Amino acid sequence: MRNGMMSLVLAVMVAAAIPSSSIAQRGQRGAGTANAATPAPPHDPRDLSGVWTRTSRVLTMSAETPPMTAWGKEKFDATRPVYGPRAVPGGNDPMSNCDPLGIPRNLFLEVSIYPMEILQTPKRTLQFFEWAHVWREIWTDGRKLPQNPDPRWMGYSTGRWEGDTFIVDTIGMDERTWLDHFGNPVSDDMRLEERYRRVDRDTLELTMTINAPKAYTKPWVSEKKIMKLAPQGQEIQELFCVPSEEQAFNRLVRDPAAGTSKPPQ
Amino acid sequence: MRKALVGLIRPFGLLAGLLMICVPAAAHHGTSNYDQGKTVTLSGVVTGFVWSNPHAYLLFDVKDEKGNIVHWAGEMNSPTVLAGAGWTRTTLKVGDQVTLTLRASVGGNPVGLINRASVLVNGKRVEPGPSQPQQ
Repeated sequence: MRNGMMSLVLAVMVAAAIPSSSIAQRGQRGAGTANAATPAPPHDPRDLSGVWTRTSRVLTMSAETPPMTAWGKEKFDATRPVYGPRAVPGGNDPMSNCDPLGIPRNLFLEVSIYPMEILQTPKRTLQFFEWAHVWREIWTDGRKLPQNPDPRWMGYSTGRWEGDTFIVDTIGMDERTWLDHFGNPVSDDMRLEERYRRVDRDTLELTMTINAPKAYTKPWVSEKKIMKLAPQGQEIQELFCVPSEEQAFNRLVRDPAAGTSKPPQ
Repeated sequence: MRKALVGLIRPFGLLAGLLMICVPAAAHHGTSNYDQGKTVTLSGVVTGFVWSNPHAYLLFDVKDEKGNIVHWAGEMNSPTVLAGAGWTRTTLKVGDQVTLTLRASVGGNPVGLINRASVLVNGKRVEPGPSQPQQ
């Protein structure tokens, strides 16, 4: 219940955070596609290529966080987020030092704030994330996921088609990452399934399921995230998180704002 | 002219404050370092406009009521967001006279979250430049 409230507050906050220009942009796109007399433009449902812009406003799986195990709760309680109802000044979000967000947190930003580009090749599908200018490999060459792999920020991902649904399985996530902006835990036994479906030329749907019995007592199924094809010419921007610049920002702005240090005078 | 114009305004309820704090800056910056209901309007002189990733920020000097110079810092969006709104790294330059509204920090230091729409440079509002494909 508490987590539900958290997500509600979060949804309001994030909704307000969406730049108005992006809403205007979507409005323009909508105006171009809403004419019922115009047949839907053709598309290949098995081609996910393109720059996809976000419409979801929820920066995590869904409004309801599943119950946590004792291990998960302890890890959760140790986080001090700067977003949501548990937000505290300063906080200890690894994002504040430009640490990699990892999967799935990087993905949440791409379906909620920043655009993501997908490129398909015969053996790999690649996702390019604007935040931190990082990419992710989803292998489609028939390989199996590794057994007991060393953890990685982005984990290990394979993809396959079932009908027109592209299913991505990911394991081997790094427990140093936070699952989302709110400090929900990641465990090394976590398995993430993503199901992508291009329902029309301009619309890509994504639902996710997390199974992480070390951290959560039940699977966590996401809301349906919906992304829209960006207008022709829109490209992923270079939004690095630059550690040295972030350190200067923390010293001059963030830490004095939080009251954890005095600004240099 | 450089006299500080300082106003503490509490015109908003909690919800409005929540919405106000969620200017696009909130997208990845977090919101807990700034007071949700307290804004400050200041005039001063730019000492630095730092076009850094993932946060741009403004450094500027403001004279307080006693005539002392106070070094202020104001958080802004990422350069990609600013560029989408028509800003460039030279929109603000050292020596420019600025008037702007910030959301006050909870730390009590002269730091705030700048409301980009409020910024006047040498008496003129910053005109949005040509829109870019990606904000």
